[in-house]
Amino acid sequence: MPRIPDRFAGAAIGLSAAAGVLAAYLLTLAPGVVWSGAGVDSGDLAAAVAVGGVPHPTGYPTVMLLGLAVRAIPLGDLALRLNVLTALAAAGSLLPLGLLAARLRPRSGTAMPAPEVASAAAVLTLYGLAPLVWSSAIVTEVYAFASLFLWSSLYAAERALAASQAGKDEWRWVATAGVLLGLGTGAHMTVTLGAPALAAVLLAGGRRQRTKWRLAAPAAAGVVAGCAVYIYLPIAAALDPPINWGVPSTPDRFWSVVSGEIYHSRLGGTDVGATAAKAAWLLGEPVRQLTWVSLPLLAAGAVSLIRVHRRAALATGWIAISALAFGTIYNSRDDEVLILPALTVAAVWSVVGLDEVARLAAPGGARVHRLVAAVVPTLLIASVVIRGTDVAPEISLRDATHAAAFAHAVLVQAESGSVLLTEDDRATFPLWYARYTPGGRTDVTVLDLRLWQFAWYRQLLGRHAGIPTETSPATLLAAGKWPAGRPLWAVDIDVGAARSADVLANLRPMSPP
Amino acid sequence: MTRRLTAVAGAALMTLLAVAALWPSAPPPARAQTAPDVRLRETAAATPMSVGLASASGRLTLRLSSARLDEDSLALPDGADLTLLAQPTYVALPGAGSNLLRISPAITITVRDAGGRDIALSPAARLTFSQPKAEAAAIYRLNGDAWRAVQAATLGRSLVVQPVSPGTYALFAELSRDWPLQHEILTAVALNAARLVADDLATQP
Repeated sequence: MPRIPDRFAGAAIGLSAAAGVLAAYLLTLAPGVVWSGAGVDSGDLAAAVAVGGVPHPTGYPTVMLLGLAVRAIPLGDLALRLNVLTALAAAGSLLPLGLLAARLRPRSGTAMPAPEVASAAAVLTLYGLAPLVWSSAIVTEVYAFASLFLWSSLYAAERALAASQAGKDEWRWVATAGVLLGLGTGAHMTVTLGAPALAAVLLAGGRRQRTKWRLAAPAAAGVVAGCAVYIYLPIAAALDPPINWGVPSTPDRFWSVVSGEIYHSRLGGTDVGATAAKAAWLLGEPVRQLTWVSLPLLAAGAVSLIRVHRRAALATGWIAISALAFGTIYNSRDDEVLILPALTVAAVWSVVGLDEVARLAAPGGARVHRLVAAVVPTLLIASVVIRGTDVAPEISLRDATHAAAFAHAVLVQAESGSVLLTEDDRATFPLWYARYTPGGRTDVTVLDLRLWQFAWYRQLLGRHAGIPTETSPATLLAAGKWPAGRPLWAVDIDVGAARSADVLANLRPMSPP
Repeated sequence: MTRRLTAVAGAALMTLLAVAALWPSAPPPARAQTAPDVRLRETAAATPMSVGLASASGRLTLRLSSARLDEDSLALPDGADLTLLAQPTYVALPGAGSNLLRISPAITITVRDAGGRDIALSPAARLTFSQPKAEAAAIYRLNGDAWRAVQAATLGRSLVVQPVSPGTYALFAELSRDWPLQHEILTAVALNAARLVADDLATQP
């Protein structure tokens, strides 16, 4: 039976899984900004990249900086380029997962049989094709970047631990882990929940106190260096782009944005019964998302980690539990996606579990060994094929052109100098993107009525659109004080969009009573 | 850890995850969007009329809906139901009374045919404000410049006016003096506020 040398096993697992899911992602990639599923924020993120601005809190500076790099590539629609970038990040995150999982398997240090490598790659592919992962990988979103940096950081931490145990200099890996964690927080703030996990790997047990403190310095310096991406926010805000959520150019505004202040009220707030039911549902998500075939594997992996790599068990367990807890208490349209780190942990545990199963089968003799080597990869690869073909039609955003068509139709219809009143993400974000990308209607202003309540937004519109902001457009209109030449239109989306494409762009004239 | 203990731990984990994976129903998706719907701290600091689209006249909000109502009602087959959703997002312009606050935008119902002539609403038409969680919530109608309470039936967590006639309506509620702290109540009410259901709307052209 062919074997893959230990030092190549992780890369073989990660790269083969990444190649498989990347193909699936590209085949189902959104052509631009979308309304569907996890992607409704894509218009906001893409518009912010287009103008070098600040997207909705917490600002996501790492994603913005990567987006600005992609913006510099003059090839096709910007939103499509950003979608490709997201898909690459999502597929790329499987590489550190493969590398890490291979190092955590109970028989690491020994060559890995090819069927086990194939099985492990299939497990990671199943993870990549999990509906939650897949749907957030094919349109501009931040979660793939967060996963890439978080798990790269933990892989670096594991390398640091190995270097330490081998008596080698470890500080470079420690600093790298810190930098990657800091960059991860710039992709999504929930990556900060990975900090205790990093500390668990680097600092818990097994070392002398002095050594621990010596490691804390490069780790902290690395985190600070990674978090330096947040400097983007005040700099971008100070340049006064038209997409500038919270205008984080002062310390208090900066803190308001990066702490997601406007979303704090979404934490908790439901009754105990509903919260418990939600927690139970989310706890079952890893198995539902990774399919039932993963259940025995992830349990075996958890047991193996507790037995062999207790620190890694602690670190990954913390990540899973904290993600599930946060997803439980946070209430928003896309709160389910917050448990993605728990799915990732389940995938890592499942890969480790494969090796544990093979280890347990070993005493059964060659016949049992051959049986396991034949059945497990066959079962997993079949699961990948079934899952992929089953889910793809539902997940695919290839034909998701409604958002762009809607924005186009609205802007074509709008009179010169129009002010478009919106009050739905699905209206505001695609319109922002269409308005602020090259060739957009520079004479048109998009005014989100929900954001009107914020002083920073009124001031922003006053500066950029030259419309009066001392009171609401409706009041000014009713009082006959609304400026001539700025016709007000309300943009309907909720009912029309759900029915058919021919009523996508329903503009309602707002005239004085 | 002994082998037996690890086996028990693995089995327990597997059972727990299996039970959770078989959990019968997903929680209803939360409605909050990326742009926040209400934020009372800043709302309270703003001048009352600067908050949102709902002005005293209120006609702006519903004129749009009525325009669509015209179009849709003409296309409706006999007996069809039509539900129009206005998505109000603004809260708490002070209304009459010390603690009586308007917690939805004003909804003006005007129904006209394609020629611009008024159409009488059928007796089946009704206006529903959903989930008025606030205590003592009531539907008010604009009568001249003054808001007057109208008779409304309570159906579960909804208040229903039926039959409904053209005019301007809004939901009011008695809230305590520290109403800006009643965040959840106001959010819930405002987000779910208004719904006009018109059955056989165009039966009386």
